[in-house]
Amino acid sequence: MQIMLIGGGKLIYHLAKNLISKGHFVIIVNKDRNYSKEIARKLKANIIYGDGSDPEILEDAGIYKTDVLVALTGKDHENLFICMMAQKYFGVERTTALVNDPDNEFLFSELGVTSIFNITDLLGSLIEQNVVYEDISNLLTLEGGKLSVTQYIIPDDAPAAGKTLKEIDLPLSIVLGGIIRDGDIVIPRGSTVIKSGDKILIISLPEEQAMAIKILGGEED
Amino acid sequence: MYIVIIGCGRTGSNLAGLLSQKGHDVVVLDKDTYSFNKLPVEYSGFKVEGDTLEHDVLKNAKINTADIIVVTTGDDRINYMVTQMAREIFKVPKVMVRIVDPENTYMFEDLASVETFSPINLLVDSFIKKIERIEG
Repeated sequence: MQIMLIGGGKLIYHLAKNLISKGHFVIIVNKDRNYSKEIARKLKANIIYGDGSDPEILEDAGIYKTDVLVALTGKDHENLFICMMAQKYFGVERTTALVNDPDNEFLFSELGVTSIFNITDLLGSLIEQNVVYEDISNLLTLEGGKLSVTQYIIPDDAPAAGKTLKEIDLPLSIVLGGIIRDGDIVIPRGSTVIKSGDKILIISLPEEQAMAIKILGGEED
Repeated sequence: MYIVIIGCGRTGSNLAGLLSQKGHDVVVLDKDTYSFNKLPVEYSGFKVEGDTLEHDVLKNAKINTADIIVVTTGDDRINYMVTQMAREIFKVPKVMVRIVDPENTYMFEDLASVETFSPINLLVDSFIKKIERIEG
């Protein structure tokens, strides 16, 4: 696949490295001369020095043959403009953009940007949960953060400790995927008793995660 | 009419002053307070300072109740995003936008309720008209 990346920084460098190692043809467009020179030495990719929102630069870079365009600059108006230009003017089928201001996610998807990474929200919620609750680790999120899988360790004084799942009033939209107890896996059923020290896998919507943890562990939010 | 003007540069400040004198309700928005100095003394509308691309700033300027917004910043990419925000999110019935590089005009084509103005095209047109008049 031919993939065009627009932007700079460590993110582009590492992303390009991974894509190249998987056999994709990568083009990077960057408007900083020194950065362009530096990565041109390090990567087996086409590096184009120029402004990614200039149609002539994109044409020189080979946008007509590009399968996916990825706009990763730190400015939302540049990312939006580049993606819309690629779709409208050059007929690129798939565009991906970084959204820096979470408020812009709706606009980007409404206008037809194929995939959107809301970096501030993603990073913010990961860091927040790690800082606020040490017993919680976010294992992964799916579909760009729409579903989250979280591991939670039941504390000693948890209201759920010693109760069966049936007794705990957990909303139907929150699913417990498994319990790790002393290294063994217990598949949770209605009659399973929760014990303190259990590592529980919680599958839920990100916004319901806090509720699940409150019910199980009684932490204040 | 309630008119919101985005960008208080030479174009925006001039336009804001004239519209306000004609009795329209005008709000002008810019990220730099200093640029409000360009507004003429007769200007009697509001000034909102802030990043035009932030939803809260646009809400502050009550853009959702505007009859017209005029987008005049010097960056086509910012103008494009503000235009789309005004259309898609705040449902402004009429957007007028200044285009710096005439090559970018196609980005605004077939957007309902959007009208574009390119100073360079206007200038070139009037040159050509003058020249043809001399010829004829």
